Amino acid sequence: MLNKKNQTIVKTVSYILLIIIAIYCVFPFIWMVISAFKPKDEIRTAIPSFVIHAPTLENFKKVLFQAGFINYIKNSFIVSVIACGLSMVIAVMAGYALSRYYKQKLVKVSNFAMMLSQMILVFFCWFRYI
Amino acid sequence: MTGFAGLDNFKKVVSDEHFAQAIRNTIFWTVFSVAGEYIMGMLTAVLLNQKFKGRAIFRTLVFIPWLVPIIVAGMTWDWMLNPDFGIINYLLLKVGLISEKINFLGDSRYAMATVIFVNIWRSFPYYTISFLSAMQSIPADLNEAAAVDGAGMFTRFFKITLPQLKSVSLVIVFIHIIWTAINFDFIWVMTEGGPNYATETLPIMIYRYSMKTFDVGAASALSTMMFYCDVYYVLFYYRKRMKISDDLS
Repeated sequence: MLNKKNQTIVKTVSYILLIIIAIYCVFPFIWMVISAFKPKDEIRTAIPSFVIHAPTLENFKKVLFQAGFINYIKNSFIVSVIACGLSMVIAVMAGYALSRYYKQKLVKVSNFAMMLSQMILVFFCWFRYI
Repeated sequence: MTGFAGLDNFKKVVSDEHFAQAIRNTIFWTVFSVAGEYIMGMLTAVLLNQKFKGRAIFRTLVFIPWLVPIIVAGMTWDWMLNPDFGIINYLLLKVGLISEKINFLGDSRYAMATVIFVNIWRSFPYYTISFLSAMQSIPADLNEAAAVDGAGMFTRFFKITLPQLKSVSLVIVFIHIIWTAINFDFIWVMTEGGPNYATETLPIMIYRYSMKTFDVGAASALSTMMFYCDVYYVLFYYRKRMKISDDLS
């Protein structure tokens, strides 16, 4: 077993590593939030700073009221709810069939086809729009 | 012009001066992304698998990059890496790690490495979560018994934890090789395949054929080639997985 001194070292090292990794993970979001509250001339500056000298809600106002944000989020909401609902219904039934009749040839084929469709290039779908 | 094109489209793609580079880039991008994600995922999973205060907070923080849309992540990093106004260049310069500002995404020497770095940032939490859940299903007495027998931390990791993660590793690496090789959005958002084709992978090339030069024939030919590679690869994976689940049951 680890003795007391080693345990402290392991713990300290883990904490330090985790803090570095956590900063690596979260930093872009912190920077995004800070930038959101900055006025234009503070964003385009050669010396970026974490302190906002003149915080503003102008950016949020622009997105919310001038850019049609409400409409976009409505679209996202509709797409995700319908896609989620439909795939859940299909997946529940398909899952039952796949687990119940997995020895049948047709079920094996459709199982493989489903996995294939997951792994094949997304941009094939785009060609439909050309 | 009508009639059967034969192999003309394929010939055109193969003789494209950027074709070989696109293949090299795709392989480079896939191998280094997956390897980096695997190492980062394994490291964080091992760290987060210990018992310590604030574990829940760290788990949440580590998982955040996976939750944002690629477009948001790409644009944020694009902005942070900007050579004139970006925070990263500023911080690196201030700490003294670099002596002059680096145009990370605009310099063909660094562009690929930078895009891979950001891709690792975005994808490794998925590995972390998978490894973590697999690690928690390893019986604790295995580790305790090994510890009593005098196995150190690293021996226990390589002899117990890693072998137990074999099955989940196989699945996750195989799937991510596909997901990374066909990834289009990240590179497109950050560099659009540039500078000077330095980050152009096959999906970007297909997009350029179809949407920029409107050469749908060449785009379809390249897609077909990639499609057959993928099918072959998936078949290989499928057999391997079948074998493993046969071994397990």
